[in-house]
Amino acid sequence: MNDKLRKIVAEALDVAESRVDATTGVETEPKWDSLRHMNIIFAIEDGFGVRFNDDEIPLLTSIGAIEKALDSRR
Amino acid sequence: MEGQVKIRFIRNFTLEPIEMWLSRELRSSGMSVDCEFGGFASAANEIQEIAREKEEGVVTLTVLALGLEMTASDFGHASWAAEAACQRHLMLVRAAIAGSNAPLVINTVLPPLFSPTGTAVVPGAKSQASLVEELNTELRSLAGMHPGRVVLVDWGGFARELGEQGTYDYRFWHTSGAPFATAFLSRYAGAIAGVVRALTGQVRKCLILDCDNTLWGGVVGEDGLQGIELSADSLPGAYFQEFQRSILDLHARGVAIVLCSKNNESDVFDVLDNHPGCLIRREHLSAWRVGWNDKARSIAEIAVELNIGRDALVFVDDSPQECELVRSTLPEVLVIKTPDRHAEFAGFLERKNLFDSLVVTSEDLVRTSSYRQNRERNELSSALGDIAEYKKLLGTYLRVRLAAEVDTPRVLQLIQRTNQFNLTTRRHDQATVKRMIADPDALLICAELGDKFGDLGVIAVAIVMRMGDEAAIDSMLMSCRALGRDAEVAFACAVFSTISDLWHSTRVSAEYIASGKNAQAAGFWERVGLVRQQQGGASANVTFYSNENLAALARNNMPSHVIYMDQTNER
Repeated sequence: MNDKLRKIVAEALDVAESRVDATTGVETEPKWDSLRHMNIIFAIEDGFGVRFNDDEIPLLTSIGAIEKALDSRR
Repeated sequence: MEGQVKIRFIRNFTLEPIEMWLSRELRSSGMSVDCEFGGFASAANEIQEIAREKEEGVVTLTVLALGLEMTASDFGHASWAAEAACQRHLMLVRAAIAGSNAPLVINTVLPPLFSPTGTAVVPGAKSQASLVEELNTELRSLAGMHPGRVVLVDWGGFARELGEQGTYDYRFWHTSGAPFATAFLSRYAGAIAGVVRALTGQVRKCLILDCDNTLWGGVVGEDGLQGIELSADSLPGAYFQEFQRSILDLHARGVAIVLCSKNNESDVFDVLDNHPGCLIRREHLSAWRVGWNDKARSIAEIAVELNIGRDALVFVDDSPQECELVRSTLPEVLVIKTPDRHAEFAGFLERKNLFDSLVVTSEDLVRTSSYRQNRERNELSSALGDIAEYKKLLGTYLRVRLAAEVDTPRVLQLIQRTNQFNLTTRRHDQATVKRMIADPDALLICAELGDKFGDLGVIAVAIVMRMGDEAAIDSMLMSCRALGRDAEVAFACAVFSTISDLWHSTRVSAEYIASGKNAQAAGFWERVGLVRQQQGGASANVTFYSNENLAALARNNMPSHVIYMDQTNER
């Protein structure tokens, strides 16, 4: 997975970078709660210079979904 | 302890993402942050709790983050009880200020973006906007009544700067109770970080500027005085002139302004002295290095010349290469590259909250001229050659008195800012300082220093505690601008003499606590006649004492060229 994304998500979740990989998501990461979800969205928007729509935000609950959303904006 | 800060938020909306921005801001100052967020709806209870907590030293800073947005679901609509909401808000803030003596950050609040009556004015009724405006006026004056302790962060200012897009983020407002956008949170975090740095003595004190394409457009050595861009009625000249105005604001609040440029000195001073559009003049400079030397070396020299720690320097240059060189050679210096686009020069320094202090004292306003006086002193010294003769000629005087209530802001500022000549680096807070002023078993002594070149105002503080026949020196510190004229020795003697006069103590004890920044003070107590207490093993904390007659100790060590003006009996 994208290294920059790993860094940003790890910082937003406040976990070690090694704990974040392509399979990380709400289901697998106990620290990924609704507050951290907002952190993650804010941090990715800030870091990648993108803006997610309000209807897609609730669906971006895994690294896979986030990568797809970022790809669609390239 | 300076490395770890704890910030407690008492808030009425979701604010947690701010921790990321605060961490980033404070990491660059070598601090890690631990945020504690109070309950969502329990702000009022937590404010009541402030008074009961005895958490001194645990929490570095309490931030009261209260907005009107989340207090009512009809905020800004016709049914919103604006007057009651504003009154309740003011009551909470008043209670928080009254409940504790610890540093507190409050904020102005934002009015609704739209009026529920549109452009129409309702006769006889106050608009929501004007009620909020009145509340903000009250909040400003509350902060003004507690200078140095209650800091007002201006949300309204952020909102003006960022606009609706940068201030609000409606995507998380209803779902998560989080009204603010990341741009807003990031500015808010920057302001809070500025307060933390001011409280922990990590204040930047000196701005070092490149010249070509930083202070003016173009290269003076090639384009000449007429060719550079620095005129108000043309672009990009007007951008550079505006930038110079921001620099003069910093100068006016006590930041030392220094030039570091690869140029012929005469070319640079031709601009400063003769260009009609150049606002920065020779007299604004505390020092300069204009020549062809390596900039990292020049900056290291400037730190020595001004007696300022490298970690208090900010360097601004347009060249990525120069920035990288300084960054890699002197990692303590904060290096900032100028914006790529000239239009972004506007406000680019202001946005960074680099030089924030909690209060501006009269000493701040003369500080920069004192750096200049130091330079003139050095010039006299090298012209004379004879050190003893030079010292006599200076006519240095030290005016020493017991601190009174009116001295609190300046005393507190010295306690918070002074790093190098600070024997114990105890950062007492305002409540403690006020208590000591009133305590008969404590002496809070302050000193003013001056000579034929100028008066520096209050530059030194000592705190002494009485324990029976022993006087224990809790703190002794002096602004770096005053050092190098034996003023610190004279001040110690004045302190001994004051202890002897007022308390007749038979023994004095003092400490040196290494802080990583005060190595130059390590041998100080022995220099003024105290004896090192034997203790086992190496320790950063060393105790000194003297059983000698204190009046004699003071007399014997007082430098002969310093005129000691004792005003400790005048209170």
